[in-house]
Amino acid sequence: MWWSNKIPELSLPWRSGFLGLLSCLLLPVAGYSVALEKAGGYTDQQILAYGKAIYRKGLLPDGTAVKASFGTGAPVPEQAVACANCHKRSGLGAVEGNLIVWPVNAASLFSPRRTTGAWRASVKDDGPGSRSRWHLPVKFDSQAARPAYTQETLARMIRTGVDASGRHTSMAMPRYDLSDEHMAMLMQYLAQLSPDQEFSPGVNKQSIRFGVVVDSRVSQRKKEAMLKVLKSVTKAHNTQTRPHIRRAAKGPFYKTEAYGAYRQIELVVWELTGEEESWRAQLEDYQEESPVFALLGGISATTWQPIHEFCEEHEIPAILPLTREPVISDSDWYTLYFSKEHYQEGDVTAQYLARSGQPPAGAIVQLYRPGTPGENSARGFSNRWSAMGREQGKLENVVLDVPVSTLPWEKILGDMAPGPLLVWLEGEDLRQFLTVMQSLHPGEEGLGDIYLSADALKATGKTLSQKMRRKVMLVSSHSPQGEFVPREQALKRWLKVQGIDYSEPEIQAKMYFIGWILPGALKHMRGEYYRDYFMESFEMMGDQYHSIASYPRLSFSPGQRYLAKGGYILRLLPGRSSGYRKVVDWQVEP
Amino acid sequence: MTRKPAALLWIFSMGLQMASTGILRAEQVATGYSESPAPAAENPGYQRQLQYHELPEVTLVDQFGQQVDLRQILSDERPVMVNFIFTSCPTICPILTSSFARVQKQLSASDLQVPRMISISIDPGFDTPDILLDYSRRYKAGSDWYFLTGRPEAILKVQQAFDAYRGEKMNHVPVVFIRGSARTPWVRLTGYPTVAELLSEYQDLVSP
Ligand code: HEC
Repeated sequence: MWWSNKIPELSLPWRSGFLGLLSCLLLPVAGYSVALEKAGGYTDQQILAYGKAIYRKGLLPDGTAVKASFGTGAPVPEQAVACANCHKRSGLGAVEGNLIVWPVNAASLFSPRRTTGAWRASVKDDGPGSRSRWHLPVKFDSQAARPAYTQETLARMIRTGVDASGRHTSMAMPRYDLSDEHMAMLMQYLAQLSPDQEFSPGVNKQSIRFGVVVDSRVSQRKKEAMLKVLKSVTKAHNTQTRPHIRRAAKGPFYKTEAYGAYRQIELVVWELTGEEESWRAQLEDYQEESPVFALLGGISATTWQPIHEFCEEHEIPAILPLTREPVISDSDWYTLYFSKEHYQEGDVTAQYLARSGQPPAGAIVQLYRPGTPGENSARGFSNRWSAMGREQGKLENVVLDVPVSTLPWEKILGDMAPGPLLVWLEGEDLRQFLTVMQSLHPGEEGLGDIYLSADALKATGKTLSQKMRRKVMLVSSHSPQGEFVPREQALKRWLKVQGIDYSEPEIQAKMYFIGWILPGALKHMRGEYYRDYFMESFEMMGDQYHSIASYPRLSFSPGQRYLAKGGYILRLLPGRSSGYRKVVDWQVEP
Repeated sequence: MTRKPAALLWIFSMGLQMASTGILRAEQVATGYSESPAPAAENPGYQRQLQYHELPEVTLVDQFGQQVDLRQILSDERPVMVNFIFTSCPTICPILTSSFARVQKQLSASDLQVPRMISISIDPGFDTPDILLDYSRRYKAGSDWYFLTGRPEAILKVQQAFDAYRGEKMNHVPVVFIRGSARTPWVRLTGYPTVAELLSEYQDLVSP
């Protein structure tokens, strides 16, 4: 017996004298013939909060990490120990390679699993006398079939990896060292996770409602460019309604499964007016009036922060908004962005400078004005720079609080003998900077390269002098236009068929991309319309190469919320043309 | 309603693969549930194969940002263990990496030679050296354990050479390669050997 000496002593918690810890109250779990004991001395809210922390973060009530080891005998590191890493926040599981991570919500655990891969109706529609056509013939029953869990068998499963049928499950399912009290908290949490047939708000039997947030300051032309593409995409989806309903009613079980899950898409526009500070209240009002399942696309002239925070708090997914100021966080969960935008520009510059051979001669000088997007570029640079082990001492941050023209430029450029100068400025600041540089006539030797955001420079409408052209490196978080002509043409053709003018290439390309991936995400949910599961559906999509012209590729990964992982650094070629050479072509050569 | 993540496979049109990887075993008819523990599995949890691999000439980069000639670090007389990982991988990589860490620790405390360990990222676009360094610390990796990244083309070549390329990163398989020296074949272990099994596989190679 290869496993026999690896199973920890069974503590049989539910039979021994542990009851002092747990109140004798048995909580029936809705719809299932199982009763769970409740951890005593806590309010229901506390129990759920503690259970959630164990499930999502792998943390016990005292803040220490849960202990577990894999079936192999190796301990699970803290960062991998949370159930949600594998079973996902929704509890609806996932597939990695050929490994199935089963769902662990009540509906799944407290009912038997008979088959693999076959759909079953909800408990209410199933059972004796039911005429539903939901089951595979019994000969397809798989080895992973098992009876419903009871409190005892579930605790045994989590502690030892032996499932309700006595099967020794995969080595990849950790064996957890949890006290009776913590186990009870965890089970209470599982019992209410993604509750059977109680879908997230914004979904009914026919349709699924998405909100599109529009900042009223955005030009009419841009708003329309965005909305028209999204509407076309959803219209295409909705034309499937009639055939799908027919197939769901008449087809064999596997068609019922696929088509029964089908919903029409309904789009509602949430227009935000006035100051950014007032957006939050407007969002709350919209959501109360007619709740949406998730936000799709959307556009802001500036920041996305109020919307990001609204979504984070209400746990509402927001899929790929158009904003140049996304919130940068590695733990927030509900907003999926195309890119870190400015932050990414700083990041890619740091990677390039850290890896481009010789360390820069002088200090690196970084110039930005607080409260502008340039601050994000500076943050992106600093974070990567220090992660790559570069000494902070060599990085000088010049934080602007006066007009650019009043800075002591002779000193900045002379005394500090800068190596690279990173100018994370835009608008009037950048215009002034360019004027100052013209009048200073920087000597060829005295000055290192000047890094500017390509978008910011373009927005000033200024052209660079020949001298400047030789010094400037343009940084961009997206592809230069014309980089992927065939992809642009595919988009143009599609727009033409839809009767839409090709007016805003970037906006249209991005909304088209949403149209490209949305059907996959919806299908993946297979009728399990939970917001968390929707978010998770995107994580499975891997690398996308051909469906967008703005990026060479977009990569989906578990837990990651920024799809673009690279950037460009362009060296301008001498002459009047807009010629350039790619110094960094998306990925910095490691 | 029972949630069937197996069903996800259908969506990504891998239904066929499912049948061939043995997840859906139509021939293994379950004849009702057994409440008593099932008989001990005969399955050792992993498969073993001997293989020779023609390794490409590639330069990769380790977690400290140093260039590494892959052939060179594989061609000296030291025993080596190789796996493929990526840092955002939720399920398979933590088990692979934790086993390497355990094996390294246990061998360091033994009389046996400690193998060189090599973990190659299959997500080089995200896994930059600094990210890999952070990852290596999570697992308390000791010395002579390379976490490698590189140009996507180079990484692809290495995966192909080891026959470990499965397209999309989330479609990867758990494999470990062990070799006693540059003159002997690779032992390819597919699946989830326990730490004890890895140690004994290793011991067989280095102390014949
Ligand atoms: C590192 C990944 C991982 C983590 C973390 C993890 N699991 Fe699992 N779990 C699995 C895998 C893989 C399976 C499927 C094993 C099999 O079927 O052979 C599984 C199976 C299960 C099952 C059996 C489901 C069934 O239908 O029989 C339960 C229950 C379960 N896990 C609960 C948990 C809980 C609770 C936690 C957190 C305390 C947790 N798991 C953490 C990977 C994980």
